[in-house]
Amino acid sequence: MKKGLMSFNILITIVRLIFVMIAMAIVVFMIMHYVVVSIDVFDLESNLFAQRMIYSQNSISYKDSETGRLYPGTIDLNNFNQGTLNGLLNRYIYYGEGSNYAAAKLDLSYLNDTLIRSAYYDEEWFNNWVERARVGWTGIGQVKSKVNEVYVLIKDGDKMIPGKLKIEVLMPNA
Amino acid sequence: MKKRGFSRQTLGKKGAEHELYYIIMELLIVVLIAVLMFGFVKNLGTNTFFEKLYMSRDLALVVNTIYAAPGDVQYTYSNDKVNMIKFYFRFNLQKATIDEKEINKEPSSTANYYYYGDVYDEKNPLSNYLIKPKEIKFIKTDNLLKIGNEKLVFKESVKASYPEIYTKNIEWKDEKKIDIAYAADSEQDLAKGLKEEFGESVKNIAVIKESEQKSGNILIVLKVDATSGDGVLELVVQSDKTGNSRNSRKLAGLIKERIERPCEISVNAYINEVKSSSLDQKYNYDVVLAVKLGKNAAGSSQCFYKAIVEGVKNYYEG
Repeated sequence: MKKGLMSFNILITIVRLIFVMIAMAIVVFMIMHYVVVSIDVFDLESNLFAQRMIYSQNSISYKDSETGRLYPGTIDLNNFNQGTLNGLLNRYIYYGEGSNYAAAKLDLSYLNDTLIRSAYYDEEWFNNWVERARVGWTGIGQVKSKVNEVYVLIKDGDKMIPGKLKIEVLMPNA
Repeated sequence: MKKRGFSRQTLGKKGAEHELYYIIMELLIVVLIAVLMFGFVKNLGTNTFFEKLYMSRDLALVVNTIYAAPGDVQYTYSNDKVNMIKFYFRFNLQKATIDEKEINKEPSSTANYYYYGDVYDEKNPLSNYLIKPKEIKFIKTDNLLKIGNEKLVFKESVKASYPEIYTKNIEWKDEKKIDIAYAADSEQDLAKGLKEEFGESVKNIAVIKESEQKSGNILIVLKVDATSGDGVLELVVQSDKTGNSRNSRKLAGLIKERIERPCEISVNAYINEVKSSSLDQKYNYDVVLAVKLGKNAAGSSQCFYKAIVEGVKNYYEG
Protein backbone atom coordinates (compact mmCIF):
# COMPACT_ATOMS: atom_id res chain seq x y z
CA MET A 1 0.00 0.00 0.00
CA LYS A 2 1.24 3.40 -0.85
CA LYS A 3 2.16 5.61 2.12
CA GLY A 4 0.01 8.44 0.88
CA LEU A 5 -3.05 6.24 0.52
CA MET A 6 -2.55 4.77 4.00
CA SER A 7 -2.41 8.23 5.58
CA PHE A 8 -5.52 9.20 3.66
CA ASN A 9 -7.33 6.09 4.90
CA ILE A 10 -6.43 6.85 8.55
CA LEU A 11 -7.67 10.39 8.09
CA ILE A 12 -10.98 9.16 6.72
CA THR A 13 -11.30 6.70 9.62
CA ILE A 14 -10.78 9.48 12.17
CA VAL A 15 -13.45 11.58 10.47
CA ARG A 16 -15.84 8.60 10.53
CA LEU A 17 -15.20 7.96 14.22
CA ILE A 18 -15.78 11.63 15.04
CA PHE A 19 -19.04 11.46 13.11
CA VAL A 20 -20.13 8.34 15.03
CA MET A 21 -19.26 10.03 18.34
CA ILE A 22 -21.28 13.14 17.42
CA ALA A 23 -24.24 10.99 16.41
CA MET A 24 -24.10 9.07 19.70
CA ALA A 25 -23.71 12.25 21.73
CA ILE A 26 -26.87 13.60 20.11
CA VAL A 27 -28.74 10.40 21.00
CA VAL A 28 -27.48 10.52 24.61
CA PHE A 29 -28.35 14.21 24.88
CA MET A 30 -31.87 13.59 23.60
CA ILE A 31 -32.44 10.77 26.09
CA MET A 32 -31.03 12.81 28.98
CA HIS A 33 -33.13 15.78 27.93
CA TYR A 34 -36.33 13.79 28.38
CA VAL A 35 -35.28 12.11 31.63
CA VAL A 36 -35.38 14.47 34.62
CA VAL A 37 -32.99 13.38 37.34
CA SER A 38 -32.27 16.65 39.11
CA ILE A 39 -34.66 18.79 41.09
CA ASP A 40 -33.83 22.47 41.32
CA VAL A 41 -35.53 24.13 44.26
CA PHE A 42 -33.28 27.19 44.49
CA ASP A 43 -35.98 29.76 43.70
CA LEU A 44 -38.35 28.40 46.32
CA GLU A 45 -35.62 27.88 48.85
CA SER A 46 -34.23 31.39 48.51
CA ASN A 47 -37.74 32.89 48.78
CA LEU A 48 -38.36 30.90 51.95
CA PHE A 49 -35.03 32.02 53.31
CA ALA A 50 -35.93 35.67 52.73
CA GLN A 51 -39.40 35.21 54.22
CA ARG A 52 -37.91 33.51 57.28
CA MET A 53 -36.00 36.74 57.92
CA ILE A 54 -38.89 39.08 57.35
CA TYR A 55 -41.90 37.30 58.80
CA SER A 56 -40.82 35.05 61.63
CA GLN A 57 -39.89 35.41 65.26
CA ASN A 58 -36.42 36.07 66.63
CA SER A 59 -35.53 38.06 63.56
CA ILE A 60 -35.69 41.67 62.41
CA SER A 61 -39.47 42.07 62.63
CA TYR A 62 -41.06 44.02 65.45
CA LYS A 63 -42.48 42.00 68.33
CA ASP A 64 -44.59 43.53 71.07
CA SER A 65 -42.90 42.40 74.26
CA GLU A 66 -46.09 42.85 76.30
CA THR A 67 -48.46 40.81 74.18
CA GLY A 68 -45.87 38.62 72.48
CA ARG A 69 -47.45 39.47 69.13
CA LEU A 70 -45.21 39.62 66.10
CA TYR A 71 -45.84 42.20 63.37
CA PRO A 72 -44.67 40.55 60.13
CA GLY A 73 -43.25 43.02 57.66
CA THR A 74 -42.68 45.71 60.28
CA ILE A 75 -38.95 46.05 60.75
CA ASP A 76 -37.80 47.08 64.20
CA LEU A 77 -34.84 49.39 63.59
CA ASN A 78 -33.38 48.34 66.95
CA ASN A 79 -33.34 44.73 65.74
CA PHE A 80 -31.97 45.50 62.29
CA ASN A 81 -28.31 45.13 63.08
CA GLN A 82 -25.43 42.73 62.59
CA GLY A 83 -25.94 41.32 66.10
CA THR A 84 -29.45 40.09 65.26
CA LEU A 85 -28.28 38.53 62.00
CA ASN A 86 -25.37 36.86 63.76
CA GLY A 87 -27.95 35.42 66.15
CA LEU A 88 -29.87 34.05 63.17
CA LEU A 89 -26.72 32.52 61.74
CA ASN A 90 -25.66 30.90 65.00
CA ARG A 91 -29.02 29.69 66.15
CA TYR A 92 -32.31 30.37 64.42
CA ILE A 93 -31.37 29.99 60.77
CA TYR A 94 -28.77 27.40 61.54
CA TYR A 95 -27.52 24.98 58.89
CA GLY A 96 -25.13 23.13 61.17
CA GLU A 97 -21.71 23.67 62.66
CA GLY A 98 -19.32 25.33 60.22
CA SER A 99 -21.68 24.96 57.28
CA ASN A 100 -21.72 27.51 54.50
CA TYR A 101 -25.02 26.77 52.86
CA ALA A 102 -26.37 30.26 52.30
CA ALA A 103 -25.44 33.89 52.70
CA ALA A 104 -27.43 37.08 52.35
CA LYS A 105 -27.17 40.83 52.38
CA LEU A 106 -30.04 42.94 53.68
CA ASP A 107 -30.35 46.58 52.67
CA LEU A 108 -32.95 48.62 54.51
CA SER A 109 -33.82 51.90 52.84
CA TYR A 110 -36.45 54.62 52.74
CA LEU A 111 -38.88 54.80 49.84
CA ASN A 112 -36.63 57.35 48.11
CA ASP A 113 -33.87 54.70 48.09
CA THR A 114 -31.77 56.37 50.78
CA LEU A 115 -29.98 53.53 52.47
CA ILE A 116 -30.55 53.34 56.23
CA ARG A 117 -28.47 50.33 57.11
CA SER A 118 -27.06 47.10 55.69
CA ALA A 119 -26.50 43.85 57.49
CA TYR A 120 -25.27 40.43 56.48
CA TYR A 121 -26.20 36.86 57.16
CA ASP A 122 -22.76 35.24 57.05
CA GLU A 123 -20.82 38.21 55.75
CA GLU A 124 -17.62 36.23 55.14
CA TRP A 125 -19.23 33.81 52.68
CA PHE A 126 -21.34 36.52 51.09
CA ASN A 127 -18.17 38.37 50.16
CA ASN A 128 -16.56 35.14 48.96
CA TRP A 129 -19.49 34.28 46.71
CA VAL A 130 -20.85 37.58 45.48
CA GLU A 131 -18.52 38.04 42.51
CA ARG A 132 -19.05 34.45 41.34
CA ALA A 133 -22.80 34.88 41.64
CA ARG A 134 -22.74 38.02 39.50
CA VAL A 135 -20.99 36.21 36.67
CA GLY A 136 -24.33 34.53 36.11
CA TRP A 137 -23.16 30.95 35.61
CA THR A 138 -25.41 28.56 37.48
CA GLY A 139 -23.92 25.11 36.86
CA ILE A 140 -22.47 22.71 39.40
CA GLY A 141 -19.92 24.45 41.60
CA GLN A 142 -21.24 27.92 40.80
CA VAL A 143 -23.21 30.24 43.06
CA LYS A 144 -26.83 31.18 42.47
CA SER A 145 -28.24 34.52 43.44
CA LYS A 146 -31.73 35.87 43.97
CA VAL A 147 -32.83 39.35 44.98
CA ASN A 148 -36.08 39.88 46.86
CA GLU A 149 -37.33 43.40 47.41
CA VAL A 150 -40.34 44.03 49.64
CA TYR A 151 -42.08 47.11 50.97
CA VAL A 152 -41.97 47.26 54.76
CA LEU A 153 -42.81 49.51 57.65
CA ILE A 154 -39.81 50.65 59.66
CA LYS A 155 -40.40 51.13 63.37
CA ASP A 156 -38.00 53.77 64.61
CA GLY A 157 -38.89 54.43 68.25
CA ASP A 158 -42.55 55.42 68.20
CA LYS A 159 -42.48 56.38 64.52
CA MET A 160 -43.59 54.13 61.67
CA ILE A 161 -41.89 54.97 58.37
CA PRO A 162 -42.56 53.28 55.02
CA GLY A 163 -39.47 51.74 53.50
CA LYS A 164 -37.98 49.00 51.38
CA LEU A 165 -36.02 45.94 52.28
CA LYS A 166 -33.78 44.33 49.68
CA ILE A 167 -32.53 40.84 50.44
CA GLU A 168 -29.92 39.30 48.16
CA VAL A 169 -29.65 35.57 48.85
CA LEU A 170 -26.67 33.56 47.62
CA MET A 171 -26.53 29.78 47.62
CA PRO A 172 -23.87 27.54 46.08
CA ASN A 173 -25.00 24.97 43.54
CA ALA A 174 -23.21 22.00 45.11
CA MET B 1 -18.62 -5.71 -12.64
CA LYS B 2 -17.67 -2.34 -11.38
CA LYS B 3 -16.29 -2.39 -7.84
CA ARG B 4 -18.42 -0.41 -5.44
CA GLY B 5 -17.25 1.56 -2.41
CA PHE B 6 -14.58 4.14 -1.84
CA SER B 7 -12.07 1.88 -0.06
CA ARG B 8 -12.26 -0.92 -2.58
CA GLN B 9 -11.43 1.55 -5.28
CA THR B 10 -8.58 3.11 -3.36
CA LEU B 11 -7.21 0.40 -1.11
CA GLY B 12 -7.88 -2.89 -2.82
CA LYS B 13 -8.68 -6.19 -1.04
CA LYS B 14 -6.54 -5.61 2.07
CA GLY B 15 -7.99 -2.16 2.49
CA ALA B 16 -11.50 -3.59 2.31
CA GLU B 17 -10.68 -5.92 5.23
CA HIS B 18 -9.52 -2.93 7.25
CA GLU B 19 -12.75 -1.16 6.46
CA LEU B 20 -14.70 -4.15 7.77
CA TYR B 21 -12.83 -3.93 11.07
CA TYR B 22 -13.66 -0.25 11.32
CA ILE B 23 -17.33 -0.91 10.70
CA ILE B 24 -17.33 -3.63 13.38
CA MET B 25 -15.62 -1.22 15.80
CA GLU B 26 -18.24 1.46 15.08
CA LEU B 27 -21.03 -1.02 15.61
CA LEU B 28 -19.49 -2.09 18.93
CA ILE B 29 -19.37 1.53 20.11
CA VAL B 30 -23.00 2.06 19.09
CA VAL B 31 -24.13 -1.15 20.82
CA LEU B 32 -22.15 -0.32 23.97
CA ILE B 33 -23.63 3.16 24.31
CA ALA B 34 -27.13 1.88 23.50
CA VAL B 35 -26.84 -0.82 26.21
CA LEU B 36 -25.56 1.73 28.75
CA MET B 37 -28.38 4.16 27.97
CA PHE B 38 -31.06 1.48 28.11
CA GLY B 39 -29.62 0.32 31.44
CA PHE B 40 -29.62 3.88 32.76
CA VAL B 41 -33.23 4.55 31.78
CA LYS B 42 -34.41 1.17 33.08
CA ASN B 43 -32.61 1.80 36.37
CA LEU B 44 -34.35 5.15 36.74
CA GLY B 45 -37.69 3.46 36.29
CA THR B 46 -37.12 0.73 38.83
CA ASN B 47 -34.98 2.16 41.64
CA THR B 48 -36.18 4.65 44.19
CA PHE B 49 -33.39 7.19 44.15
CA PHE B 50 -35.42 9.81 42.35
CA GLU B 51 -38.29 9.37 44.83
CA LYS B 52 -35.87 9.76 47.73
CA LEU B 53 -34.29 12.80 46.11
CA TYR B 54 -37.67 14.39 45.57
CA MET B 55 -38.95 13.67 49.06
CA SER B 56 -35.78 14.86 50.79
CA ARG B 57 -36.12 18.23 49.07
CA ASP B 58 -39.84 18.37 49.66
CA LEU B 59 -39.50 17.63 53.37
CA ALA B 60 -36.55 20.00 53.82
CA LEU B 61 -38.66 22.77 52.29
CA VAL B 62 -41.57 21.86 54.58
CA VAL B 63 -39.26 22.28 57.57
CA ASN B 64 -38.03 25.62 56.20
CA THR B 65 -41.60 26.80 55.69
CA ILE B 66 -42.65 25.81 59.19
CA TYR B 67 -39.69 27.62 60.71
CA ALA B 68 -40.52 30.66 58.59
CA ALA B 69 -44.08 30.84 59.94
CA PRO B 70 -44.50 33.61 62.51
CA GLY B 71 -46.35 31.55 65.11
CA ASP B 72 -46.87 28.01 66.32
CA VAL B 73 -47.65 25.50 63.59
CA GLN B 74 -49.00 21.97 63.33
CA TYR B 75 -48.69 20.29 59.94
CA THR B 76 -49.31 16.78 58.66
CA TYR B 77 -47.24 15.73 55.66
CA SER B 78 -48.49 13.00 53.37
CA ASN B 79 -47.62 12.31 49.75
CA ASP B 80 -49.89 10.73 47.16
CA LYS B 81 -47.11 10.59 44.55
CA VAL B 82 -44.74 8.43 46.56
CA ASN B 83 -45.47 5.43 48.72
CA MET B 84 -43.98 6.68 51.97
CA ILE B 85 -44.21 3.39 53.84
CA LYS B 86 -41.29 2.06 51.79
CA PHE B 87 -38.85 4.45 53.44
CA TYR B 88 -37.01 5.36 56.60
CA PHE B 89 -36.81 9.07 57.42
CA ARG B 90 -34.41 10.88 59.65
CA PHE B 91 -34.36 14.57 60.55
CA ASN B 92 -31.27 15.66 62.36
CA LEU B 93 -28.23 17.89 62.01
CA GLN B 94 -30.28 20.17 59.74
CA LYS B 95 -30.71 17.43 57.15
CA ALA B 96 -33.67 15.43 55.92
CA THR B 97 -32.34 11.96 55.12
CA ILE B 98 -34.35 9.25 53.37
CA ASP B 99 -33.59 5.63 52.58
CA GLU B 100 -35.47 2.40 51.99
CA LYS B 101 -33.09 0.60 54.34
CA GLU B 102 -32.23 1.40 57.92
CA ILE B 103 -30.19 4.59 57.75
CA ASN B 104 -26.51 4.13 58.64
CA LYS B 105 -27.00 0.40 59.31
CA GLU B 106 -27.01 -1.05 55.82
CA PRO B 107 -25.05 0.32 52.88
CA SER B 108 -27.38 1.91 50.36
CA SER B 109 -27.98 5.12 48.50
CA THR B 110 -29.52 7.67 50.82
CA ALA B 111 -30.82 11.00 49.65
CA ASN B 112 -30.57 14.03 51.88
CA TYR B 113 -31.10 17.75 51.74
CA TYR B 114 -30.30 20.59 54.09
CA TYR B 115 -32.84 22.69 55.92
CA TYR B 116 -32.28 25.45 58.43
CA GLY B 117 -33.38 24.89 61.97
CA ASP B 118 -32.95 25.72 65.55
CA VAL B 119 -29.51 24.95 66.90
CA TYR B 120 -31.11 22.57 69.39
CA ASP B 121 -31.96 20.17 66.61
CA GLU B 122 -28.55 18.76 67.36
CA LYS B 123 -29.51 17.87 70.90
CA ASN B 124 -31.79 15.03 69.89
CA PRO B 125 -30.15 13.23 66.97
CA LEU B 126 -32.30 10.12 67.20
CA SER B 127 -35.60 11.59 68.27
CA ASN B 128 -36.69 12.33 64.73
CA TYR B 129 -36.09 8.92 63.21
CA LEU B 130 -39.24 7.59 61.56
CA ILE B 131 -39.65 4.06 60.31
CA LYS B 132 -41.93 3.63 57.30
CA PRO B 133 -44.53 6.21 58.33
CA LYS B 134 -47.77 6.75 56.46
CA GLU B 135 -47.55 10.43 57.23
CA ILE B 136 -45.24 12.74 59.12
CA LYS B 137 -46.40 15.21 61.73
CA PHE B 138 -44.64 18.50 62.36
CA ILE B 139 -45.36 20.69 65.33
CA LYS B 140 -43.62 23.94 66.16
CA THR B 141 -44.03 25.60 69.53
CA ASP B 142 -41.79 28.29 70.94
CA ASN B 143 -39.70 28.08 67.77
CA LEU B 144 -38.80 24.49 68.59
CA LEU B 145 -39.82 21.96 65.97
CA LYS B 146 -40.76 18.39 66.77
CA ILE B 147 -41.27 15.77 64.10
CA GLY B 148 -42.95 12.44 64.62
CA ASN B 149 -46.07 10.33 64.52
CA GLU B 150 -49.63 10.84 65.71
CA LYS B 151 -48.82 10.12 69.33
CA LEU B 152 -46.25 12.88 69.45
CA VAL B 153 -48.64 15.38 67.94
CA PHE B 154 -51.43 14.55 70.35
CA LYS B 155 -49.09 14.93 73.29
CA GLU B 156 -47.62 18.17 71.99
CA SER B 157 -50.86 19.76 70.88
CA VAL B 158 -52.15 19.60 74.44
CA LYS B 159 -49.10 21.47 75.61
CA ALA B 160 -49.11 23.93 72.75
CA SER B 161 -52.26 25.66 73.93
CA TYR B 162 -51.18 27.60 76.95
CA PRO B 163 -54.03 28.26 79.34
CA GLU B 164 -55.18 31.71 80.27
CA ILE B 165 -54.31 32.41 83.86
CA TYR B 166 -56.40 35.02 85.62
CA THR B 167 -54.39 35.97 88.63
CA LYS B 168 -54.56 39.76 88.74
CA ASN B 169 -52.56 40.64 91.77
CA ILE B 170 -50.55 43.85 91.94
CA GLU B 171 -49.03 42.93 95.28
CA TRP B 172 -47.63 39.75 93.85
CA LYS B 173 -44.46 39.80 95.94
CA ASP B 174 -46.37 40.09 99.20
CA GLU B 175 -48.20 36.90 98.43
CA LYS B 176 -44.91 35.03 98.71
CA LYS B 177 -46.33 32.15 96.78
CA ILE B 178 -42.94 31.25 95.48
CA ASP B 179 -40.05 29.11 96.58
CA ILE B 180 -36.70 29.31 94.87
CA ALA B 181 -34.27 26.57 95.67
CA TYR B 182 -30.57 26.05 95.13
CA ALA B 183 -28.28 23.28 96.18
CA ALA B 184 -24.75 23.56 94.84
CA ASP B 185 -22.22 26.32 95.48
CA SER B 186 -22.20 27.13 91.78
CA GLU B 187 -25.78 28.33 92.07
CA GLN B 188 -25.08 30.69 94.96
CA ASP B 189 -24.34 33.75 92.82
CA LEU B 190 -27.64 33.49 91.09
CA ALA B 191 -29.44 32.86 94.32
CA LYS B 192 -27.92 36.01 95.85
CA GLY B 193 -29.43 38.19 93.17
CA LEU B 194 -32.80 36.58 93.58
CA LYS B 195 -32.70 36.98 97.35
CA GLU B 196 -32.75 40.74 96.94
CA GLU B 197 -36.05 40.43 95.14
CA PHE B 198 -37.67 37.46 96.78
CA GLY B 199 -36.10 37.63 100.25
CA GLU B 200 -36.56 34.55 102.36
CA SER B 201 -38.31 32.70 99.57
CA VAL B 202 -34.88 31.74 98.25
CA LYS B 203 -33.66 28.78 100.24
CA ASN B 204 -31.48 25.77 100.10
CA ILE B 205 -33.31 22.91 98.49
CA ALA B 206 -33.10 20.82 101.63
CA VAL B 207 -35.14 23.41 103.55
CA ILE B 208 -37.70 23.69 100.78
CA LYS B 209 -38.25 19.98 100.73
CA GLU B 210 -39.63 20.12 104.25
CA SER B 211 -41.82 23.14 103.77
CA GLU B 212 -43.19 22.59 100.30
CA GLN B 213 -45.52 19.80 101.29
CA LYS B 214 -47.53 22.22 103.42
CA SER B 215 -47.58 25.18 101.07
CA GLY B 216 -49.10 25.58 97.64
CA ASN B 217 -46.32 27.72 96.30
CA ILE B 218 -44.69 28.02 92.92
CA LEU B 219 -41.38 26.25 92.98
CA ILE B 220 -38.35 27.23 90.94
CA VAL B 221 -35.24 25.13 91.35
CA LEU B 222 -31.94 26.47 90.10
CA LYS B 223 -29.71 23.70 88.99
CA VAL B 224 -26.31 23.92 87.34
CA ASP B 225 -25.39 20.95 85.24
CA ALA B 226 -21.98 20.11 86.64
CA THR B 227 -21.43 17.12 84.39
CA SER B 228 -21.40 18.98 81.08
CA GLY B 229 -19.05 21.66 82.35
CA ASP B 230 -20.17 24.14 79.69
CA GLY B 231 -22.25 26.33 81.92
CA VAL B 232 -25.67 24.90 81.23
CA LEU B 233 -28.07 26.00 83.86
CA GLU B 234 -31.39 24.32 84.33
CA LEU B 235 -34.26 26.27 85.73
CA VAL B 236 -36.90 23.84 86.87
CA VAL B 237 -40.28 25.47 87.08
CA GLN B 238 -43.33 24.05 88.73
CA SER B 239 -46.19 26.43 89.04
CA ASP B 240 -48.11 24.51 91.66
CA LYS B 241 -47.84 21.25 93.48
CA THR B 242 -50.58 19.52 91.58
CA GLY B 243 -48.38 18.60 88.67
CA ASN B 244 -50.23 20.90 86.32
CA SER B 245 -47.87 20.99 83.37
CA ARG B 246 -49.86 23.71 81.60
CA ASN B 247 -49.21 26.21 84.35
CA SER B 248 -45.59 25.13 84.52
CA ARG B 249 -45.15 25.68 80.80
CA LYS B 250 -46.87 29.03 81.01
CA LEU B 251 -44.46 30.21 83.68
CA ALA B 252 -41.48 28.69 81.89
CA GLY B 253 -42.56 30.43 78.68
CA LEU B 254 -42.86 33.81 80.38
CA ILE B 255 -39.40 33.52 81.89
CA LYS B 256 -37.91 32.24 78.65
CA GLU B 257 -39.31 35.21 76.73
CA ARG B 258 -37.60 37.56 79.14
CA ILE B 259 -34.28 35.78 78.97
CA GLU B 260 -33.96 35.70 75.21
CA ARG B 261 -34.19 39.35 74.24
CA PRO B 262 -32.85 41.53 77.04
CA CYS B 263 -29.87 39.33 77.89
CA GLU B 264 -27.65 40.11 74.93
CA ILE B 265 -25.12 37.48 75.83
CA SER B 266 -24.71 33.94 74.63
CA VAL B 267 -27.90 32.83 76.31
CA ASN B 268 -29.96 30.19 74.59
CA ALA B 269 -33.10 29.14 76.37
CA TYR B 270 -35.43 26.30 75.52
CA ILE B 271 -38.17 24.50 77.32
CA ASN B 272 -37.82 20.80 77.75
CA GLU B 273 -39.36 18.05 79.80
CA VAL B 274 -37.65 16.17 82.58
CA LYS B 275 -38.73 13.11 84.46
CA SER B 276 -39.96 13.83 87.96
CA SER B 277 -37.33 11.48 89.29
CA SER B 278 -34.41 13.41 87.82
CA LEU B 279 -34.19 15.74 90.81
CA ASP B 280 -36.37 14.47 93.56
CA GLN B 281 -39.17 11.95 93.73
CA LYS B 282 -41.27 14.20 95.93
CA TYR B 283 -41.68 16.84 93.26
CA ASN B 284 -43.50 16.52 90.04
CA TYR B 285 -41.02 18.47 87.97
CA ASP B 286 -42.47 18.40 84.54
CA VAL B 287 -41.01 21.41 82.79
CA VAL B 288 -37.44 22.49 82.57
CA LEU B 289 -36.23 25.74 81.13
CA ALA B 290 -32.67 25.02 80.17
CA VAL B 291 -30.51 28.06 79.73
CA LYS B 292 -27.15 27.77 78.08
CA LEU B 293 -24.96 30.45 79.55
CA GLY B 294 -21.74 29.62 77.78
CA LYS B 295 -18.55 31.35 78.80
CA ASN B 296 -20.36 34.45 80.00
CA ALA B 297 -22.09 32.57 82.79
CA ALA B 298 -20.63 34.72 85.54
CA GLY B 299 -21.71 38.00 84.02
CA SER B 300 -25.17 36.83 83.06
CA SER B 301 -26.64 36.06 86.45
CA GLN B 302 -27.87 39.62 86.98
CA CYS B 303 -29.79 39.58 83.73
CA PHE B 304 -30.99 36.06 84.36
CA TYR B 305 -32.49 36.75 87.76
CA LYS B 306 -34.26 39.84 86.44
CA ALA B 307 -35.84 37.62 83.81
CA ILE B 308 -37.07 35.26 86.53
CA VAL B 309 -38.47 38.14 88.55
CA GLU B 310 -40.25 39.65 85.57
CA GLY B 311 -41.55 36.28 84.44
CA VAL B 312 -43.01 35.44 87.83
CA LYS B 313 -44.48 38.91 88.13
CA ASN B 314 -46.13 38.58 84.75
CA TYR B 315 -47.42 35.13 85.66
CA TYR B 316 -49.21 36.55 88.68
CA GLU B 317 -50.47 39.67 87.00
CA GLY B 318 -51.96 37.76 84.13
